[in-house]
Amino acid sequence: MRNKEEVFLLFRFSHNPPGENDESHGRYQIIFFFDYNGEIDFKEFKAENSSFGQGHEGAIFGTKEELTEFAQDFVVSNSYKSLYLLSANDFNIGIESCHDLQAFREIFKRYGHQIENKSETTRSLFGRIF
Amino acid sequence: MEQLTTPELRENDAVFPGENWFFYWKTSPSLWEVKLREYQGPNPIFVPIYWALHSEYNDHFDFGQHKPETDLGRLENCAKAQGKELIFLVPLSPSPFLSNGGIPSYLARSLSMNKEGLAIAALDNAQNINRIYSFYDPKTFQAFRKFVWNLGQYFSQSGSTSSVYGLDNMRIEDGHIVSYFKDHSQVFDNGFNRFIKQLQDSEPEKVQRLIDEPQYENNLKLEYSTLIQSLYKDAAEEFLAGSWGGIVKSCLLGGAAIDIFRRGSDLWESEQNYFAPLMKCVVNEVYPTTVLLGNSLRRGPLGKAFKDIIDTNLIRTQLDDDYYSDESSLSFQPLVFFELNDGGEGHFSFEKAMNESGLKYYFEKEFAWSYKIKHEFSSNVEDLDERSVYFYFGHRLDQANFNKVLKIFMNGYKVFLDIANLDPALMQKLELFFTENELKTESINYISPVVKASLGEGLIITYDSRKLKETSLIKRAGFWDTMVKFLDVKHLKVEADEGVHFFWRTRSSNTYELNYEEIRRVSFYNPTSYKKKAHIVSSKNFSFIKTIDQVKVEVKSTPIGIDLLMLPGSHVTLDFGYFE
Repeated sequence: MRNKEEVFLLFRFSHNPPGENDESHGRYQIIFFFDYNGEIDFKEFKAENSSFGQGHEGAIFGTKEELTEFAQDFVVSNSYKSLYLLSANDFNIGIESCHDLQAFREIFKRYGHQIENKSETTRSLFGRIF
Repeated sequence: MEQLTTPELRENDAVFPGENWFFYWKTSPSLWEVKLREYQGPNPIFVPIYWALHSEYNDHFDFGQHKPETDLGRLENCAKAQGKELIFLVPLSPSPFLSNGGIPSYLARSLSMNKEGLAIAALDNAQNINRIYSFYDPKTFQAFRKFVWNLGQYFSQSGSTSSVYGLDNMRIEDGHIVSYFKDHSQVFDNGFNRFIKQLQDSEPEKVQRLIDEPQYENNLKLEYSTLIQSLYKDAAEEFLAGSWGGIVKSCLLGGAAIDIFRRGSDLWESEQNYFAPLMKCVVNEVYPTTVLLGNSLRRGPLGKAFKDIIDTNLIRTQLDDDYYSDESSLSFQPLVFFELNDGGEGHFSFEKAMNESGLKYYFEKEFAWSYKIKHEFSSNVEDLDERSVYFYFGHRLDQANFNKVLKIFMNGYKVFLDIANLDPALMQKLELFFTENELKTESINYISPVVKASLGEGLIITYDSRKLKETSLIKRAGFWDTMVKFLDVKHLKVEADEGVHFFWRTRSSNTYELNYEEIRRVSFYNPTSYKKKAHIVSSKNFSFIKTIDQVKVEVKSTPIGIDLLMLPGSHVTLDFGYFE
């Protein structure tokens, strides 16, 4: 059974190739998307959720807001407790001071942006009351 | 002196982290001889040289003058006393099993980046994160030159007789074997920009082409990268000329970016992840190693697969040991039916070419891992294997290599030539060649236009992969099935459950096996947690000889073949005799 505690998303920002006529300056691309059980095939998720089909091409998002929105919806629909969003730049900063696996695991938590599953929190609260 | 206590398990020993590798800095020099005496693995023993250990600060070198653990001469004497042969490996690219990739800390300034812009790092077998620093930093190269000069002086003055090879450390990233030398960092870009400036004077036509075709930048980047890598190799070769043997390309399993995440999770990590990379290395003639992986992964079928595949014979083949290769036909070698060749300039992805033509799918289904990928043309026709079938990709052929392909055909070998994007002049030449030599050709249109011509034992079949690409994978596999039937390849078909891995090897028969032309050996491994089945289909040219190393496997011989019932973590090897 899949461990649904936390899920991790590593992305990078790259400028649009010259000549590409796009209003945005660049794109946000998912590099790795995984939880403790392995890599996550988010394409299936995308296919099941038509709202994510718009404006995205594969694992590429036009704005960071779109990427964050994708992450939020993913966490809720897949019942993860939280997701850590980390950029390649922040990963590179984090790895400079990391010497072992323990410290490596902390990079996402120390340098990443945590997205909590709000519905999960609400359910827990209800669970506690009833 | 005889040892009275039970020796510690070698697998747990950091000094021997895997296969035939010896990490001399992991133990006291006073224990080197004991450790080497206990070693029972394949020979020769690879000893990577830890640059940072011998040069802690700028222009300072220590080969035993100050610290005994840097005394490589003493290490060599210990090995000689124990009758062991050492091969010293000078890293020509970052070594992910060492802190900072092995370079001295005063040079660890610019992190290497992968194509995604992520800093390259690796998890070693002690769970340390080793960051990799760029070898494109001019200061790193200058320091490397000084280091190898001093190393060369030391070896010649100490009268070392061990061979020294350059070590190119590699990893499998997104299915491709890439060197740790490869870098996409700012340091690389800065060097590349200087290279372009130089080209403006020396080869302006290249710069003009870069302006006209922006995608040409990839070719120039490859050219620059190859140039810098050759500077490291040339420096090592020049200063270590007396003992220089060549280059060992070694692929460190578990060294990809994703592997750190994977290996950090017990739920994700599994020995199952490393079978395909192991086989991929063998197919690509790159030396695979588990030195980055933990011991737990090596205890089961994966460790057995490594022990089966990495033997003295394979190591000697890696070292291009001609003397040894004469004797090697009586040792098991990977079974190779097909050899894919490329001698063209610039980047070429065999992976892509094989995927598009359907060859990869077909080979996996029918001839799993029984092929070889060569990035260079064999210079000598006599070195080719008459049993192999040779594949060439037309758009990668220039006039000289095209002539070589025809020569190979005329010498009686079997050739497949993909005519997709073949230079029209060469296409004309091919047609002219058929006419001038009065070769009888047969043409059919089966998914792709196919032309078959033969001359004595030689056979050439041309096809167009562009047409194959347009069809389904099943149809492409059907195409190859039909084509390969022409060749009458003698092989035993294996049907195995998903998760079961198998690998074929072969050797010539010896004087006690005169009934057979050759002995084929297939090893099966089940690294999964489930019972699995495999079946080897009977064939009239083969007879079953014996089973070896049967662990948790039930082997049943039936008239239609051999059935294997494999428990979790099981493995078995079977030998077959092949006769005409």
